[in-house]
Amino acid sequence: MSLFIRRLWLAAAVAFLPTSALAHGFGQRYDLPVPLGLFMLGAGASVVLSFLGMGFFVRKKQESVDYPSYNLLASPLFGWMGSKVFLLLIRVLSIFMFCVTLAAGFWGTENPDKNIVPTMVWIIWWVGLAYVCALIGNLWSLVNPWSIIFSWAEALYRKIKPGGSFSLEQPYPENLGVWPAVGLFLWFAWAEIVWPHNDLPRNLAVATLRYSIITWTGMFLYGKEAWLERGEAFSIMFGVMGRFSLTETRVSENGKNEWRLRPPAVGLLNTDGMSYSMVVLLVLMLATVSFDGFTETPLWHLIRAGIYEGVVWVGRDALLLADTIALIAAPALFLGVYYLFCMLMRAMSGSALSTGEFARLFVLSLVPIAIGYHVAHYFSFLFIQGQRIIPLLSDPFGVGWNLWGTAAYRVDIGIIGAKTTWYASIAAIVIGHICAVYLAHVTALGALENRFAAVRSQYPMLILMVGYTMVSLWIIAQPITGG
Amino acid sequence: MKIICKTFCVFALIALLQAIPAQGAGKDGAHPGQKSPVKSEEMSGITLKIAGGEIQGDKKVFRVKQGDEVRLNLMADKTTEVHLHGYDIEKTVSPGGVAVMTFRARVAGRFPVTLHGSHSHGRKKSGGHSEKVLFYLEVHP
Repeated sequence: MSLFIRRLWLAAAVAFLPTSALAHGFGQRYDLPVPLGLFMLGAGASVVLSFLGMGFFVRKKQESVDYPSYNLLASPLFGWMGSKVFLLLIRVLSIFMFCVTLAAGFWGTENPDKNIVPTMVWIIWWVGLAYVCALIGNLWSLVNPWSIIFSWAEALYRKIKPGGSFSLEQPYPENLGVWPAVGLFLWFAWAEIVWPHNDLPRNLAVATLRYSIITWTGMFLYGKEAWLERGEAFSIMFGVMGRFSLTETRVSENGKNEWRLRPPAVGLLNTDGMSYSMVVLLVLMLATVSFDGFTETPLWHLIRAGIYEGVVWVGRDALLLADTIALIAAPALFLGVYYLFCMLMRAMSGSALSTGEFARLFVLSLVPIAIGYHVAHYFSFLFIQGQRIIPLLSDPFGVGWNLWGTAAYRVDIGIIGAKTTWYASIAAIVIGHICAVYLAHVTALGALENRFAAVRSQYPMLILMVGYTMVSLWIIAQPITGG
Repeated sequence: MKIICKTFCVFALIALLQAIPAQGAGKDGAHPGQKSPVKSEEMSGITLKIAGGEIQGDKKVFRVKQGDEVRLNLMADKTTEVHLHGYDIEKTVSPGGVAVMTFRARVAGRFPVTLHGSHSHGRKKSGGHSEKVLFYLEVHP
């Protein structure tokens, strides 16, 4: 038997092993692979629009980074959302749900389908909140339970010891960059993609507690804001997604909070404070999003079988090791490819900037492609599996309650049609691509000495972005495999 | 101008090359030479034999059209619980008998059909991931 056929059999065997399907969060997707015609449409549109963008770019003069915005809080329709009472209400609700979720994890049923925890964590928070942050605005900065609880502790402390500070306010070691967040996000990515028991309520509750302790320790040592900016992985991640969204929060000159409507993606043009560790963190996030989807493809099962063959001698945890190796290899590969293209950009532009500086300047422009894929990948999932929260809110512990009368609600899998999902997915990916191309163009114009250098630097970037978008399109054209 | 044309050709070629994996994708890779048109498998029903915890035969994906009346005739070598996800239909197949799942395929999608243990008590297990997939039922719009 040829090596290839042997691999195929091994892959098929691995794909159909009872515990072999990667856990991948919780809940199933029933998406059909995007048909060839739509795939070609998406691919063609991405390429053509990139070219049009390029042509436009060549002719356009230097662009300023200023953009129009409108303060929603100044309008009567949304003004009430800025009131202290409303914001406090949201925060209290967030802490309440946080506590209910933790309690359900420790004292509720172990059945993941009947306990609120897996749905809350993997569907409502990880997917739902990401959607809101990427499309509407950084809601996480408002509802982050760790931030809220810590500030309440600080306020309480100040009441007892006026003028004192709860946190030690140690200066954060600058050369540490955002490496703590990198480590924490890698741990989370492992939990999301590799960990076989990540749908068990108790496991999730324990993991949440662990993360809480780490977060509060960091806040206690270095101050809440410092930790949120450097160590709290989700604040950084949702913050980056929020930069793509349609709104931003600002404090005006006279100290008033503003919630401004603005064009999409422009928040990603701000590359202040971009460190090398931040580049690594961002690439890790982009790679995780793609790898997550990749693990449902037939090609992944082939590769997985190959790695498994190499580590099978380890014994019982060989499959776990194989998956972990892949989880680390994916961002490493992304990083390598990205740096390669930064080298090419530098060479084409003849700029005095280093490759590292190119990497720091352009990494944010890739974010819209990741967001486009993320939206596409989870579109039907959010509408179908997201419905689970309806009965779960009435019976969060899975013990037979019916608090809101919705405990008997059954998920309607037909709520969103297959074709709607296809069109939405292709649209999301193509729009993400256009935004990315635009961002890269504007960044090049701003950072490079003359327009010709800027134009030349964009040829490699265009190839990288088209390639990245093709990967996204390819993944959604694959049949979902492995459960 | 020439450079732009050349570059456009390169990009168009890359776009076309991407079509090849997408075509192979629809056939699940296991048997590259096999063609599987989206033919409706209605009326007569799909007959499946489960042996040794797997369905017999090479075909692991069955395709029907949305709106079809689907009939799955299941046979097994030992008592088996079979679960069609999405539509959420469970049938227990006893050796020597035929368990029939009939339903109207009103929702399009790709639905795994999984195997529960030979004797399954309650639903202590997690929501489907650690269950073995017997085959996929694809309902096409």
